[in-house]
Amino acid sequence: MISGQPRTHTQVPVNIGTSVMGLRYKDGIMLAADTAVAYGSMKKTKHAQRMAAISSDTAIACSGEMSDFQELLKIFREKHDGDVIENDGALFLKPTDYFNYLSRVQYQRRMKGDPLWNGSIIGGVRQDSGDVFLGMVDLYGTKVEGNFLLTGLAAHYCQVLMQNSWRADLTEAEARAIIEDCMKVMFYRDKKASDEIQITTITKDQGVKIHDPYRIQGEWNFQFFHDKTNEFWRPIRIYNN
Amino acid sequence: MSGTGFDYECSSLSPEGRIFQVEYAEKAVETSSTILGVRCKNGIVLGTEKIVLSKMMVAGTDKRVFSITTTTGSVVNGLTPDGKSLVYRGREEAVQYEKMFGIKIPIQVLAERLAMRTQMNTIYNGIRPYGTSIILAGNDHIKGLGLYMIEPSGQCFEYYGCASGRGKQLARNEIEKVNFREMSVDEAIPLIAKILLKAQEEMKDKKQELEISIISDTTGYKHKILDRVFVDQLTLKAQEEIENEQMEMA
Repeated sequence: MISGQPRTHTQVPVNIGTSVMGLRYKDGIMLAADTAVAYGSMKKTKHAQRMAAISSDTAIACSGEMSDFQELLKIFREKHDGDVIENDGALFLKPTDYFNYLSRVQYQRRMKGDPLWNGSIIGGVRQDSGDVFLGMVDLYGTKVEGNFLLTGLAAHYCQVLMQNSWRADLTEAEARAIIEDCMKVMFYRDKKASDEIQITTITKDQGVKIHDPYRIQGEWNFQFFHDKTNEFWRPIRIYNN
Repeated sequence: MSGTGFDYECSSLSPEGRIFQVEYAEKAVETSSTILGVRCKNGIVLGTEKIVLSKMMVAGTDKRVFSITTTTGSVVNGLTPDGKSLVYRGREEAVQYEKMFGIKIPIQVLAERLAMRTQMNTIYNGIRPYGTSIILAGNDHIKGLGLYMIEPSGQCFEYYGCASGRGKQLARNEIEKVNFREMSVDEAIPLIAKILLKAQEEMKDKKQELEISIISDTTGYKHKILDRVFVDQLTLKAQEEIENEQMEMA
């Protein structure tokens, strides 16, 4: 700490989870993330869970600093427990309330010069009215709502892919196929992404369901990779040939 | 009984060694509704009865059973606002403890902290003792289930079964008669409803309400306040049974 300066914590993220995705489909919300956490360019772990249920009808998926994600979960847990206790077991806070609260926390921390370094997607389906909600908050506290949301590099690589394939009446299988497509693109292009992905669905009937992680199959079996690599690059790599 | 000049504040003892302010607080508890807590084989049951004060009062708004954490429940009597103030204090303590130590507050620690707070109110000039008894029930990872009662004096003990309020004696006798420790929570609930109704015999011409909550393995050791429809049915059934018993006696 520099003396005379206010105390700050995360000025640079250290353990980083890469992009997360969220989209609406016919039955509710689907959130997706891969399970890798990177330390610089090194994959520190390939089996981390980067999503969690906040309440019985709300879930969050986070990219960015993973310790800040854990801090966020603590903040949400306190909020949720307080809600349950004060309402004798009933839930007062709805998905939108958690979303707005997150945005206030993020904005306050950013103004302190001590941000929680996350891009978060919150999704929820109200169990009483069936209202579906999907929103995104970045590390400055900006709120974005939409039918499909992407954070991090995916916002650059997968935006068009999502735009072209998203429909309001997607089935769960179709939604999953789109997510897998996007995840595959991210795995090819983003060095911090991995091919093990995890999906959370939130529906009116089943509430939050965090599915087991699984691996998507990338295609690497190109002739080019087999035999051409060296020949292809030789004229450029080797001088005076 | 009031000692001349010795009952205005609790910062001085009477020549007989009594603190009248504390005794008056206990009086406030003794004349109020019965509360009880019972430890069973697989959990704890808390309960209270209350008289509906006014016909125009909305049912269920006179609450006496509260959660302190998700796994800790409490029931208060006497001056219920005093009880509420203690409950809120308990919630603060629990949150603060968890923030500092990273584990849930053990029920014993919570009970003792609230007891210390209650005791503080019996030694200072200018503040009065809490006119409330509070029964705490909880489950923690250190000692498992625990049932504690704190009285206005700051006294705090752990119990297998305890009661306070106007039906205290009767309730205690009944609790001692039945072997609740060998009984499951579900079996105990109707019995406890009966005990609570019996304990307020002299008030039975007025409308009565019960409040019951449980912590058991069926709730995942979380504090669960039983919903009003269920408890109202239970009350009616218990009242019938009591009447039948009295018919047989007569």
